[in-house]
Amino acid sequence: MRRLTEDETKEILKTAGLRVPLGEAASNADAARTVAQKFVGGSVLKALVPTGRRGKAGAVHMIDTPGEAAAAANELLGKVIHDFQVNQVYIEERVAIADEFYLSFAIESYPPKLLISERGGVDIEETFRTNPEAIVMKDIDPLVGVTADLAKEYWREAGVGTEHLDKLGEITKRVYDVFRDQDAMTLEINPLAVDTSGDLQLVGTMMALEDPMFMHADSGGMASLGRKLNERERRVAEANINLPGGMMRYTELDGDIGLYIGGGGTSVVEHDLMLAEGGRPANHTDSSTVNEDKVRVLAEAILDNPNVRGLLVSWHFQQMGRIDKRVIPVAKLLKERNVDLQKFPVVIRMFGPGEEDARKVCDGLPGIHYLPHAAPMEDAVRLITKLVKELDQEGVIA
Amino acid sequence: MSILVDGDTPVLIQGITGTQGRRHTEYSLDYGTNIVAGVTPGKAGEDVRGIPVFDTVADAVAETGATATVLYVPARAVPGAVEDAIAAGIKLIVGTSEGISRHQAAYFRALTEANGARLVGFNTTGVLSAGKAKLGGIGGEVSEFLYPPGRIGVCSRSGGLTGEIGLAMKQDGYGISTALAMGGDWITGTPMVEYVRLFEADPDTDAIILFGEPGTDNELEVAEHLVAHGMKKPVIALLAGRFQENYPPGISFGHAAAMIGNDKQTITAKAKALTDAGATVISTLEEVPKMLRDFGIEPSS
Repeated sequence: MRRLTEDETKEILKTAGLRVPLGEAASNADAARTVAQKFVGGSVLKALVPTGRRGKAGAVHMIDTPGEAAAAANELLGKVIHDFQVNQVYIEERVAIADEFYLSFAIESYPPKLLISERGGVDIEETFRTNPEAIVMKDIDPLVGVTADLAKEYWREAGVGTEHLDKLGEITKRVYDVFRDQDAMTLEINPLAVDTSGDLQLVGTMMALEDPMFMHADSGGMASLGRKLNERERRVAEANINLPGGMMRYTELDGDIGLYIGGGGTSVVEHDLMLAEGGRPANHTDSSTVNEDKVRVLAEAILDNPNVRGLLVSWHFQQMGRIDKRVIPVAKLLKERNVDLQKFPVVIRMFGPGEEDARKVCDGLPGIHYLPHAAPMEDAVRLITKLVKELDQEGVIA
Repeated sequence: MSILVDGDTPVLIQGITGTQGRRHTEYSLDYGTNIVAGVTPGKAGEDVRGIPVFDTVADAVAETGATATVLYVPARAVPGAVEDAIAAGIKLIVGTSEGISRHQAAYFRALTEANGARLVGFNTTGVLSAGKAKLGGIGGEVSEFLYPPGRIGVCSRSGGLTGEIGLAMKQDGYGISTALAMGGDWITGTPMVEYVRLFEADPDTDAIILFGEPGTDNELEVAEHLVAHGMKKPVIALLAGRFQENYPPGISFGHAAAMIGNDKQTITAKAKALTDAGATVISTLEEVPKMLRDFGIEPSS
């Protein structure tokens, strides 16, 4: 999931013809002052970070003079709000609000859902706990979408009087269309405000898109990891962008057994079993690539981890993909680095098309444990776990 | 018998002249699948190993009576391909493409359901009824090796694991009625519970093996179904991904959908729901044949 920042979301909504407050981003105090000067009726200055609940975090300021904007920008820039460093602030015109509503769409599972409330501008999760009847939730039929008439019906059910129904119905339909057309996972408008001239404006907006990449090297880290990528993780992420072929994921953990595993379900079964057997994975990984350069980047990352003391190479029995393209780059790397396989155990369970070629190369690495054809997956996980544990007993430090 | 597809099902291949379409068509023909037609716009009159190619799905269905289709079309052509298949009256669509968004998937699911059709996938390796037919890449060059015929139904959220389950059962002489990968995405055309219903109704399936992961409500829906309707056959659920609960939420370790979405979608919660509903929950492959034996199910060989 990739959360957009407020300026990005509002630009998308504006392009779709929806009314949002005028606003601009600024990356220093002087720029913030200049923007604030444009809004004679006062403005709101917020930390431009892709997260909600900024108000509670002290990241939203009401601005009456350009000087206040500069001071607020100075205060916020460089701060960390909900794990995001503030590199920019967003200044927008202050809307005089007569009434406010809540509108959101989400698609987690099937079908997509609409959530509305006549109580806007407040914490919706709080409302859920204290006044669940104030929230109307509806399933959306993807074949029908949200028509203006359906939306009016829902708003009526939410307790909204006739005065704003027509406009609410129309805007709800158009916001849904944006939600669908952008392949958004969530789109929240809170508040959806009626200004003092009776017009509806999308004042608070939050949007998250589905992330087609598993991680974005260019986003400064994998935000969902709750920490920045380390140097090895970054190399893998960059290879995803710079080299052709399927995606790779590599996440370091605090154990000592390197995992070069893959195939979605297979890698999770193996990881679970390793923990159950008392082994400690040094990383999790999954990949769909057979590009040999990419495989090498991943193998290098796994082996460069200073905590790694052994390696498991084990995918599901390949039905289509060639395994030699996955095994040979790893074997070559072990050979180049003169890895002592007595002190650094390597277990391979790779079966399927290309197996003969893969075995031939591994035969040149004395001490490598390439399991017999069609041996159970459990054998591979148990063997590497046992071999790495034995290193402790022998007092060998890789 | 089997579910979804058998040796008589007349099968269409959309995108048959592409690299992937051609290769998988050949594997499927070698396996014995009754492929009757292919579609590639602009290539009417050609053939792929004797299978006639048509310009449109409508033409192909009118000429050959195909009732099932496999899509090997580029991502941008997927929506049109699904709509064409539905309009032509196709009842089973196997969608192999990766990267189908949730909104698209939701639309395809609604469209197929509204037309009394079924969509397997997207992001699936396909469906294989052992010894009869296979739709999609499932089994590849090693179909006979991984999926010997038998009386066990397999529904997995992972394509690779489908084959590993086949291999694990085979060690003890158990074989497959139908094995299918339902697709690893958050929203699939058909939920897991629907396959469970089909396997329950299939007289040639004695037990049902499921493979589940974190994320999505699939396994929970199966549990609800078992509680509400009971179940005549053993349901053995291999659930994996418990390790993710040791790490912060939101990290994706496996398939797009194998991400801890909320507390109800963890393996711990799913294991509890399925166990309470009477299913047998396991965490390793070696337990699959062991449980089948414990249920007194006869091996096929």
